[in-house]
Amino acid sequence: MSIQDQWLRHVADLAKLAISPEDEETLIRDMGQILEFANRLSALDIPETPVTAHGRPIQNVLREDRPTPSFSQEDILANAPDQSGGCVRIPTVI
Amino acid sequence: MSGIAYETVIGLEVHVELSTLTKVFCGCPTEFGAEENTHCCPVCTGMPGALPVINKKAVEYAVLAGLATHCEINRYSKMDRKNYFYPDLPKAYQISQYDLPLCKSGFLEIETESGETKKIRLNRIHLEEDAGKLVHAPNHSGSLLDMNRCGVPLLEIVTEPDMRSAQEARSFLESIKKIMEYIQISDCKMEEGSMRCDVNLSVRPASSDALGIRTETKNLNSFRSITRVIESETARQVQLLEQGVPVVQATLHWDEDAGETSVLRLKEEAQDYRYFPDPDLAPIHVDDAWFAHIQSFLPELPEARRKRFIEQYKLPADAAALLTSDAALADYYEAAAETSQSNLTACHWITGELLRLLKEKEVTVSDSPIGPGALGQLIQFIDRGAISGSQAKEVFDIMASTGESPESIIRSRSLVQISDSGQLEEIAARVIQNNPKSVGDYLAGKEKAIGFLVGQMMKESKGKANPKLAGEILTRLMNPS
Ligand SMILES: [Zn+2]
Repeated sequence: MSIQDQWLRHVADLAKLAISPEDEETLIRDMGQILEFANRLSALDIPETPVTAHGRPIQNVLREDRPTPSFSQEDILANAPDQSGGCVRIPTVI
Repeated sequence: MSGIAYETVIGLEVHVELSTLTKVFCGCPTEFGAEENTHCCPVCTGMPGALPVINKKAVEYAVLAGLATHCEINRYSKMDRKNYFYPDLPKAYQISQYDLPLCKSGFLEIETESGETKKIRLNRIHLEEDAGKLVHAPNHSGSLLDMNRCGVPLLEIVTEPDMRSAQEARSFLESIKKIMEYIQISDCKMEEGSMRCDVNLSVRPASSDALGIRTETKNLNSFRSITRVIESETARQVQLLEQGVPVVQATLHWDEDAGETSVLRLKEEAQDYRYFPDPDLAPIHVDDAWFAHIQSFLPELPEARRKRFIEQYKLPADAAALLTSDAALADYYEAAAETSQSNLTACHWITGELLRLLKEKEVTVSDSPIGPGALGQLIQFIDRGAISGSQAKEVFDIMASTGESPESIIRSRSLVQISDSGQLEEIAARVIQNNPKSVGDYLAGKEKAIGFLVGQMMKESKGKANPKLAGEILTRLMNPS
């Protein structure tokens, strides 16, 4: 297995995606292009620019520690594909 | 066995649930034990388009924890997304802090087995959110998810690999628990999951300075499991090294019933979590005014209080440590010492009778049936010589069961000690007359005979004679000057 193959599978694994062998080649090429694009940013020499953590110049958007009403159990479970005893039921994971 | 001595190297990641009323990014309550999925909203269940807003108190609590553990506070901090897929995490990412945690580079002091003080360095303390709870569905019909815990604020306290034994790890955790309780940001109840711990452990030849390959055992929620994990993981890794097999870096799960670890997953690299700043949350800037405001909430910490107790109240070191091990107990002592005006007697009664009573009744000091003021009054009666030691115990027991004040108990049961010299002299004279042999022994130099005579006076007075005065009067009467 080539380095690119391993790398693709690792990323697919993290994203919990099953990738068919036919798609592999296209995906490796696409991802390579995406990385190349992102690397252009690293190549920029901008020592004067401070590290930015947010897209807009805002800070301290905070709320007081005061409870607000939660949703009803029924509403919370309304989107669940399956439920049981007030919980979302999912395939066995534990 | 090769005969090489090995050393265990332990680092801990402690998760402490903050005792805010609401979750960290929404107004849902954090209260323990609610019906499943009733403390949830679109924000904490990860509905698309819902917008989180940081709970100010959670930030303040995190900073307070940092101040209490000698950390440096990052005045500029931010929240990041840690991406991974697991069904207890409906958003598919946990909001945590990556490169700008609120607190960094702190330390705590613990006491080692040999009684020495040892510094345990803290790498960082950051704010993050808890995940949901998964349980088995009946008849193997899947897993069940309760999202009430999703978004409950947690502090993750990460140490450097500075501990060398289960005992040191335990001391560290007890110390953390004590501090969190002192600064009142968490109740650290392991049984309710409000304090949990991951154990990072490696072994190395005792002579080596290089760190071995470590494993991380997740989510331990009792001192007992932590101790067992440290023992079993040490033994397992030593055995591998002895066989020449390298330890594989992995995340482990501890099976309490089987008493062994199993591999949960091979260790992810930080990059696998694809951390990036959460675009929905604005960075946090703790400016000077806010910092000073948070600092003003910092109470006297256990270590400082222990030292003050020794200095101010002249208490023995072990008693000072015991009294300051719990903020409520230390408060109790200070109140009782003030009322009683007797630091040592108050210390003696609290570390003895009071703690025994609390243990017997299985209550905390805050729920003590005898308040510090009442105990202080009782101590005043003792110190004034109004009642004897054995009478005081009797009064104490009545106070514990009826809640009556010591004064009313002493009055209504006519327990007042006889300290009147006239009355005592009369009794002493009778005792001297009736016990010529003991008097003879005493006069012949057998000092011990005085004890017998005092005993006789106690008997004559039905236990009400002040024993100290009784002894003095007997001595005086038998040695006419
Ligand atoms: Zn919510």
